[in-house]
Amino acid sequence: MDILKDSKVLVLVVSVILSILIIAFKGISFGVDLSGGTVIVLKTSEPVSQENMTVITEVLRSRLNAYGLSDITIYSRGSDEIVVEIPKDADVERIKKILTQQGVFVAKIDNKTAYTGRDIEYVEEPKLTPNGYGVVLKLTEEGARKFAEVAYGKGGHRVELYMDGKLISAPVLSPGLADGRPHRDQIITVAGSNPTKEEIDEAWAIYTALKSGSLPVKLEIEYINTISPTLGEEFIKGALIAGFFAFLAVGTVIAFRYKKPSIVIPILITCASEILIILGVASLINWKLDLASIAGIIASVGTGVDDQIVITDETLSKGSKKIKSSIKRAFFIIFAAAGTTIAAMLPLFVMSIGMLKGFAITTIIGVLIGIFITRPAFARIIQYIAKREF
Amino acid sequence: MKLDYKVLALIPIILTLISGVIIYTMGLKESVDVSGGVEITITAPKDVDVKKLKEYLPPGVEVKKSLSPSGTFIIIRAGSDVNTEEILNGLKEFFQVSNLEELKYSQKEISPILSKRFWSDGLKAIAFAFLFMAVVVYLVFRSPVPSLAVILAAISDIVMALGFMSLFSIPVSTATIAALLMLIGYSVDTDILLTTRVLKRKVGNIEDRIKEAMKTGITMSLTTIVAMLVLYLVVTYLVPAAILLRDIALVILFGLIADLLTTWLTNVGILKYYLVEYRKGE
Repeated sequence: MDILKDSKVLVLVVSVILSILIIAFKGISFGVDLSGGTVIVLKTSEPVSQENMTVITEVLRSRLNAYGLSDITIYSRGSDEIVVEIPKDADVERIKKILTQQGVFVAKIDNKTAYTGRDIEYVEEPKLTPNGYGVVLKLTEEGARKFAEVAYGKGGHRVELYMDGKLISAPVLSPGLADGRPHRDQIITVAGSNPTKEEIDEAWAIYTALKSGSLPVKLEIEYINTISPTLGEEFIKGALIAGFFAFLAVGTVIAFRYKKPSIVIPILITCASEILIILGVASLINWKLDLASIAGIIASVGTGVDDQIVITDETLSKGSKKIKSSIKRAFFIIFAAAGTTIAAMLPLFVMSIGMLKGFAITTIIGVLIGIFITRPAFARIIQYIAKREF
Repeated sequence: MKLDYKVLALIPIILTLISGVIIYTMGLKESVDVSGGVEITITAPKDVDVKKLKEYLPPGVEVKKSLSPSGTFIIIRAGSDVNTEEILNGLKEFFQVSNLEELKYSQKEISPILSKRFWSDGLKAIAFAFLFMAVVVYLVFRSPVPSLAVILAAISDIVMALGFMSLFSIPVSTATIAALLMLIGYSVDTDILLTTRVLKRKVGNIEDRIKEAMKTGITMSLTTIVAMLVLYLVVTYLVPAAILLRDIALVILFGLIADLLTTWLTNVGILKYYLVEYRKGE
């Protein structure tokens, strides 16, 4: 087995072994569109600085944590997009409210600011209180003093509570709170004792906004994709079944064309190693496989098979006595094809829709692995076989 | 009787023109990605009366169903003006579940702002992909006529694939744009093979070289065609919810069949013309 001593074949073998080890130890993680969960893309009302972007992602993270969601991924994309990934079943309607609330809170009495979100020290989760369904909060001493000053002698007036400029509640100020002394405990009621789902969502949005603070800019939801985890499992299963049968089908076509196992088997093995190496790289760089990546893997494996056919035909063609020059010509075709594929994928990096970016990245990684690792090794194997058998 | 290669070369061009007319008259279907709005898919355990289901949903909602071994697959679409929560509540009520999780559901919502950008960005991406690809092809061959033939073939493939999408109302979506870009790659692969073989190989006459190239090229296309056919069948009959992959498979499948014609009729014709007549005229 001299062929195993060839440097290019060795690189392939080592890459495959490394990939298997990486996959075995680190595993492959799937994106939420395959494993289930929710992806939300938010857009800021205007481009923001990197600093503000950090503030926004932190506020959003603490909001989702306050709502009881951990294990979430939040990252910014460019200067105006934030991606939130929630890897499990969640109440999307409520999360939408929680995320998009800017969270600027003001309490006013007779149009004078009594306290703001900054004066709040502590908030409790929404619950039923003696005054109705709402959020119980505690003011800071400073806040309570301010409130006492504004509220003094205003018993029976309304306390208008605004969230992002919208009046959310206007309870009547009880005379007991208008005595000029600081009262730290306050309640924001949003409904009576029988809140609707909408009102509960509202209360949760207020609670998380007060707990996490306000966002420097307004956020709007651009894109939401929710997939139930059971469906996600089915996707992965489906992709595996499809991949397996597609592999068999390609094998059948190649077997039909070349008829010799000594050619068909190396093509299929190279093809399988290419998939393994792509998955290994994905695992290594913590790339989450999503539907787009699967499309990318299909694309690069598809061109991989094409390239192997080109190499095989160039090597075995009757007229080519000089194997060296035919391999050179095969690689001319392969590099040209790879160049056009990469060129065609590049514009996707500036596209606003993330899915196509993932597709482009996976395809380019696949093509690069192909031209640097698998194709050269395959060329050596086929040359070796050609020398021995023909 | 042997048809003149120039006549044969016209067949894909005529098909491309017909596709153009189909696209122009029938238009392209837009997915939620493009039009904005919401798309919900569920897999119901038993058959569903679509008319009855509609009564539970707000007006302006489109409902479609298909049957598969794993259950009844239902797609619900609505524009941005319809309240998503009303749809979800209607579904919960109709199917008598407290959580849609029980129905293996997926939900996708696209805001009108993003959908507007989708068109401009998507078209730009395809246009620039073409431009970059064309530059690479020209750098590879350095002669205008063969390069133009490669690019022309890729354009015809895309137009025919779009015509097919229009005819069978496969929506323009992120997935199908990805498929069209993959198609550019596949289409160019066979054309590069053909051009390299014909221009660079010194063995045999033109006809022999074309014949050899065809053997290789058609094997290349066939492997991808069967792979896409399998993908299409598996998704349709086993996991109908992965409709994205089905659309990708269909678009590539048809585009590759179109590519067989454009490469082996038109591109071959142009190359023959280039070698037999154009170069002699120089």
